[in-house]
Amino acid sequence: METRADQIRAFIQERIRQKAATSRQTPPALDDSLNLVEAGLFDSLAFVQLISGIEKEFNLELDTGDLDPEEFTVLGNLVRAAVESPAVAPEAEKK
Amino acid sequence: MTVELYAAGSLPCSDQIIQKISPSVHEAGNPYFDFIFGSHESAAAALARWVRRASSEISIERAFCLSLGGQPLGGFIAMPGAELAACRRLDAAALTMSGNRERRELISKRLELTSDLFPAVGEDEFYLSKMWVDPDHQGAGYASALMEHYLCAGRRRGFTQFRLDVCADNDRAIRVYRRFGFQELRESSAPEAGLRYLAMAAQQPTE
Repeated sequence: METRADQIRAFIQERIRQKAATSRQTPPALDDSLNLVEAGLFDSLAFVQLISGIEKEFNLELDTGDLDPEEFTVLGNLVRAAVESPAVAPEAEKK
Repeated sequence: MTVELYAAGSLPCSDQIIQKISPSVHEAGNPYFDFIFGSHESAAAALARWVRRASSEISIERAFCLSLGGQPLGGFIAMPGAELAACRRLDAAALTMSGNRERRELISKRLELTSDLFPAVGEDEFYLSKMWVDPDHQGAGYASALMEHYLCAGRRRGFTQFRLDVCADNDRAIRVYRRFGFQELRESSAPEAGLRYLAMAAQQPTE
């Protein structure tokens, strides 16, 4: 059965594929050790859009706690942070 | 007493140094910092953390300070273009996660408004990220001393191309940069953000 972590990971991986296709790059290996920012696919604006996309899709408020950016931009860490982040009610989202 | 230059991150009392230089770095990066963080207070709180993070553009590890008898006079932060690009990507990620979901939408808008403000810096360029002179010591030639040290640091690392961005209203700094051979490359503005910056470049022979 697909877990929430699997769904979030698949969502991010799809965004990576889209970014690679848009910038005509070969997508990097999409394993959990991939650093999304260092791979050069997500510039400052694209990264904030990715985070907002995860929050909207999965009704959560992403909290990366005390992690430094070089840690929370790693795919596996970002998925873990998203799974552990507080949920936001879809009703609140519509306000 | 002689004026000395020291690497800020190399001192054992780095916490005290951070408290002293963090507001100077903030001021040197304004008005951009206050705009992108949304307020002076938010910027000050975040930048005090960024100065402590080695991967940040404004890390104390990249700062050099001038001092006279232990009294700080000013300083600068400089790095190669490739390093700058990596730092800026991680700083933007830190900025993204510095607020809650609602604040993130505002950050996204501000990043969009300012996305063309600073032209890309080449990997073969040595970039002056921040330079400041303590307000009590302005007009005494320390800005020129800092520029000499910055250019010398770049030349020692084999760079011949030098780059910086400066607020287009900062006539005093622009005059100093011109004196050291910097010429205007491009003026960029973000009218909705009320920001105008000047990209400047200089060439120097290697040592």
